[in-house]
Amino acid sequence: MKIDRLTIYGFGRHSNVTIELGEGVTVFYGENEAGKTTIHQFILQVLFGFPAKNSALLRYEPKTGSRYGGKITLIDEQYGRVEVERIRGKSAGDVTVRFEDGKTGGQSELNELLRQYDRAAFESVFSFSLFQLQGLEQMDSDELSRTLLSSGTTGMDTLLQLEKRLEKEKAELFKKSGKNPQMNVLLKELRELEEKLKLQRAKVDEYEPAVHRLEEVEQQLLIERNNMQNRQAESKKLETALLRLPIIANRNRLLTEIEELGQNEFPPNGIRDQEMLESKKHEAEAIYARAAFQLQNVKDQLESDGQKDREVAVEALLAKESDWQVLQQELVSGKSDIARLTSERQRLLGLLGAAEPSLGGVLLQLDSSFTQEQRLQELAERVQQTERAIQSSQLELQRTEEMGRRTTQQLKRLNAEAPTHDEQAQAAKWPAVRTRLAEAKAYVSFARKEQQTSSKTVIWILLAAGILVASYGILQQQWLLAFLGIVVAAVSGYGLMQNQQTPAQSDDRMKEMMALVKVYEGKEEAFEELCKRTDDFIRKAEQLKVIAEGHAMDIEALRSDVTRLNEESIHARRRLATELHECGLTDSAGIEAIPELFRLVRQLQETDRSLSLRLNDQQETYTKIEKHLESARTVLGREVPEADLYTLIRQEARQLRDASLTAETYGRQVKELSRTLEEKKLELQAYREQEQHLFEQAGVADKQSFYNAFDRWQHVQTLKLSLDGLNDQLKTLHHADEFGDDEAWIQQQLTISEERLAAAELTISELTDERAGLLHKTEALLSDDAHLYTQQLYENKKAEFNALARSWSSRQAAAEAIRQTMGDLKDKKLPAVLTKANKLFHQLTAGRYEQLDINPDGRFQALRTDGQSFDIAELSQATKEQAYLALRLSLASELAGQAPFPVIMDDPFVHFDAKRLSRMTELISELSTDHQFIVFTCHETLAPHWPEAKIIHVSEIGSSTEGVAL
Amino acid sequence: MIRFLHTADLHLDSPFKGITDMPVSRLTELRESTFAAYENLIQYAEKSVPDFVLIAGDIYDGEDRSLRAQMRFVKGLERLQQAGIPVFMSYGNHDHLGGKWTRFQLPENVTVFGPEVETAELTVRGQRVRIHGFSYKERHIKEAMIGHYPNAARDSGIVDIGMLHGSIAGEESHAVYAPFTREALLEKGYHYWALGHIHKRQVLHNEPPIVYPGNLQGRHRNERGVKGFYEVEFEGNEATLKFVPASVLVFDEIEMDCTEMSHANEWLTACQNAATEVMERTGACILSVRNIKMSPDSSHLFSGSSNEEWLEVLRESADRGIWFSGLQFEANQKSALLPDSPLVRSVKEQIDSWDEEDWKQALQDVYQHARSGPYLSALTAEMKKELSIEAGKLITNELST
Repeated sequence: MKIDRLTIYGFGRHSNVTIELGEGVTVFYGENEAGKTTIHQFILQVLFGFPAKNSALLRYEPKTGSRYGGKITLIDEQYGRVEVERIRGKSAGDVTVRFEDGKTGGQSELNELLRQYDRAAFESVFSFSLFQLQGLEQMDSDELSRTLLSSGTTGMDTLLQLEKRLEKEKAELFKKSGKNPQMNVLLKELRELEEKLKLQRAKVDEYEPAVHRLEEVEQQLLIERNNMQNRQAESKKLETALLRLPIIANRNRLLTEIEELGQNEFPPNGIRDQEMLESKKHEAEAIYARAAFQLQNVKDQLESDGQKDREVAVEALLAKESDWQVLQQELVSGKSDIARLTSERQRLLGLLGAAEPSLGGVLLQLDSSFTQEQRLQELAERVQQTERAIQSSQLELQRTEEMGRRTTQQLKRLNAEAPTHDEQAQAAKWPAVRTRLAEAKAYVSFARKEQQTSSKTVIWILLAAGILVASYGILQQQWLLAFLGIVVAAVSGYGLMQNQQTPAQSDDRMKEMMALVKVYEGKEEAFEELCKRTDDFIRKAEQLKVIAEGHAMDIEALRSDVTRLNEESIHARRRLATELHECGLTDSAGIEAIPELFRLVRQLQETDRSLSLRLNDQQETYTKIEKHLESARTVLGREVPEADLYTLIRQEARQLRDASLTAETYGRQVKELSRTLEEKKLELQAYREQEQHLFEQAGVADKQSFYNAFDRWQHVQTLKLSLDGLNDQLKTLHHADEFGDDEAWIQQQLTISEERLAAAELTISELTDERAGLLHKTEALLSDDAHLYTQQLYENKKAEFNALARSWSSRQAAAEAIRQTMGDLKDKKLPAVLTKANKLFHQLTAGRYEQLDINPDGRFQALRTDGQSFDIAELSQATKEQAYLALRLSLASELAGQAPFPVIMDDPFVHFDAKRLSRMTELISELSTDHQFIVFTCHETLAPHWPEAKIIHVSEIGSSTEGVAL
Repeated sequence: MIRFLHTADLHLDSPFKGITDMPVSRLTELRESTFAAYENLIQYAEKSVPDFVLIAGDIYDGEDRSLRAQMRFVKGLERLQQAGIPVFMSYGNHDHLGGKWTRFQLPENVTVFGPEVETAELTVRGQRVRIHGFSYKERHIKEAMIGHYPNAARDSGIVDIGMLHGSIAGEESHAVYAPFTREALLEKGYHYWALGHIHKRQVLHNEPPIVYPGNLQGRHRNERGVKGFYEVEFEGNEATLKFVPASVLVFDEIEMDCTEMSHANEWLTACQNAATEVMERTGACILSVRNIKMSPDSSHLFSGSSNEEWLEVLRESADRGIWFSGLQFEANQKSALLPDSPLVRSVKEQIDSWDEEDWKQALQDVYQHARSGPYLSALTAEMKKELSIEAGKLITNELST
């Protein structure tokens, strides 16, 4: 098998690299760190799997992020050209194997391709470095030889250890004559269990005899039970026989007694019937007696009652009750009317002032006609008229006097305010001056008379008013007014006269006038004022004087009027009083009361009439009542108060009615009782006959002997009953007839029977006990599973033992196989390898050493051509390595047939001098016909010695332009 | 129409073999299972009321049959009597007539065949039925008893049924007793052959049916699967077979694909799930676990503890109705992933090259030992193969890690 090409996708520092390897020897040259080991590992890991993640070995996952893994192209003698590709997948990576014919495969195909070699096996034979020989000289021969051996047969060491361990484990499981190993222990237990089983089985064997015995016992029990039952029956019979004896004796005695008493008849239920008759008879007699007595009683009662006539009379009275009530009511209402009318009359009399009864009589006789009333009325009115005239005249008088006083006062006040004398003089002059002034002025202007006219008008008015007032005052008898009017008229008359004097002033003196005007120019108004004032004063004073005079006259007139009127009034009054007195009326009532008085008088007279009417009625009513009472007294037969007359009558009537009802009842009772008496009489007759019949039946004459007969009869019946009882008893005991009546013999038989019975019972009890025991035993055996348990335990132990035996056997087989294999190796394979190694060693040492041997102690030794032999430890380092390489190479070529793998060497020649090196390369070149050699080195000296080898500079790999075909 | 039940190999109350480490309480339950299966049979008969019941030998397990077993058996038969169901039975090699043991009185509905081939006859709804059979008079009957069976009387319209406890000549899984050939059975012209002795259920021939119903309850790991009896119905010559399960406990094996197993939990859960599935299908079960397709990861996982430890953990987490009896690893697959080294190979080849004598030589210390020999089962070829695999495993495990 040859590696043709490596294609690295990504592994350690390398990525996307393809490396073509040489046919025979390929040398990978590179300095430290160049990546030689990476390529070495790439080959191993692609073929045998990436190490597990927890493994000590590096996984070389690319840091650059390119795809992990790669493929190796192999050329194999058997399979042809094959590609093995391994990429990231499960822990060891996913492997694909592609064959020339296009087939692909997985792990199992790869295993086949690699001849079932795993990495360890491969490395131990086909991949080596000098490190594996480090410390070679320290090893003892055994170990050394084992190491050498194990370099060809991987795991020999472990295998030997395993064999040792297996032996130990086996010994723990089993020893031929041991006691403690597990299987030996189990064996002992098994034997014990077998013993136990045997015992338990023997116990089971007891079952059948027990069952048989049980059947026998059942049979015997049956027989004994039968026996016992017979005995019991016999005993019972004997006991019965004993019982019969006294009964028979008794029966005989009874028979005799009955015979003695003899035969007699007695009616069935005789005594009961007789007693019943007796009681019925008594009952009937009692009823009869009571009825007769009652009849007599009732009859007496009936006689004592009988007042039919009186009842009718009372009823008639009762019928008149309403009349009575009416009378009573009338009486009451009459009384109240009289009382009312009397008081009315009294009242009216009082009103009319007729305190005295004589006056009352006058009033009652008074002519109360309207004419009379009218006449009085007129008189009264006349009085009134005169009085009214007096009043008004007096009033007028007073007023006029008042006015007179007032005028006087005014006059006084006016005088007090009168202007001074100068002023009066001036004022008196002024009109002249003014007139002149005015004339003077009138020369210029022309209106001057106006003023004179107007003043004349005022005076006239005043005059008229004064006259008017005076006349009014006189007319009205207002003397003051009249006076005032007069004064005013007087004043105004004076004024008028004054005015008619003034126009006779001069008007000719024009010039003077002009001068005058000039003098009084400006003072005109003041003078005017003063003048006016003075005029007013004078006028007013005069007016007031006139008025005062008028008043005085009026007052005089009025006073005379009043006097006249007073006289008139007194006259009228006197007439009225006289009239009234004549009529019996007081005049004090006043004139206005006259119609009222008349009305009252009339009322009085009316009342009086009604009163006398009522009194008559009442008298009548009294008479009727008295009559009524009288008739009631007659009927009731006693004095009755008027108030509860009818209560008494009703009482009487009720009593009378009750009495008549009772009488009726008594009548009925009489009839009833008479019938009863008749019935009972008949009944008693029948009873007596029946009783007689009973006596006849019993063949006796009277009651006493009837009872005696009954007693006798009863006694016989009792005896017969006892006899029947005894007969019945004997009947039930009839099955003991056979034993007769010999008591002693029966007793004897009974004793014998009892004894037999006791014996049978004992036997039965014994048998029952035995049966119970047997039943228990068989039951126990049936349900006993100790045996089953032991059996199962035995089986379990056996299974356990078998399992251990199997475990022992497998260990034994393995150990034995290992021993045999080791033997084979030592005997067959080692010599062949050694022969080949000798040859190679000889060649490598250029004949200086003849061969490699194993000395009798089991150590390797080198034999020199001169016959001198050396221990491995005594050899030089290079020679030692030569020996080692010879051994490895011989081993590899020995295995070439079955494992034609390339040999991978990691700097194995560092200690060699040039000669040795060339011999070595020579040898490898020779061998490379059979094996491909892949050598990794960091020594540049190697390459020149190997012209036919393909040299690959590892440091240049990365820069190679060759791409990777993915 | 005729309808009957056919059962055989009850092995009532037989101890269970090859079971280790099981606690006593569970053993007791286990021990009850043959009775429970028999009870199922009786209940089924009571309910369906067949025309008759055939029991073709090996009612008890052996000479140390328990009283309990017999009592229970007889009680079951009494119940069939009460239901008016006739029973035809023969004894086989395990409960032959020669044994010296207590025999219980059987109820009257039961017909037991004697040591010579006999014929019992009954009429079912006007149809005459003949049943031929014999009981073993001693443990070993090497004679081909088939020669003594009469030929069928097909022409007369009688239904002939043969009961035979024995094995086909050349079949070696059970000891060969009363050997016969299929042809010899067919020659008799019977309507039905009710066989017994082989514990595996199998129908040797269809028309007419030649049937091993298998035993009623599996008792060790080689008697796998659901066990029961046959209900056979004849309509004219047409037979309909219906298998009725009766076992209360099933021995079985589950396979665990360990390709992806790298954690103990995964494997435990997978085992429990598979076991639960089996239990749901068949009821309580005793299971051995066969681990296949071992990957490097799973190999690594399992090498962490001994098989016994794994088994113990598995049992601890198991459901009440499940018992794990053992673990196996598919050795071949394991080596496919990790190649054996040449040395290991040569050691293994060494074992494979051993002949009978070599084996004997190698194992003589135990197998030829006077004390231990008798307790051990014979070294069969199969056993040797297993041993060589186990030995190989010991070596491989040691050297490949």
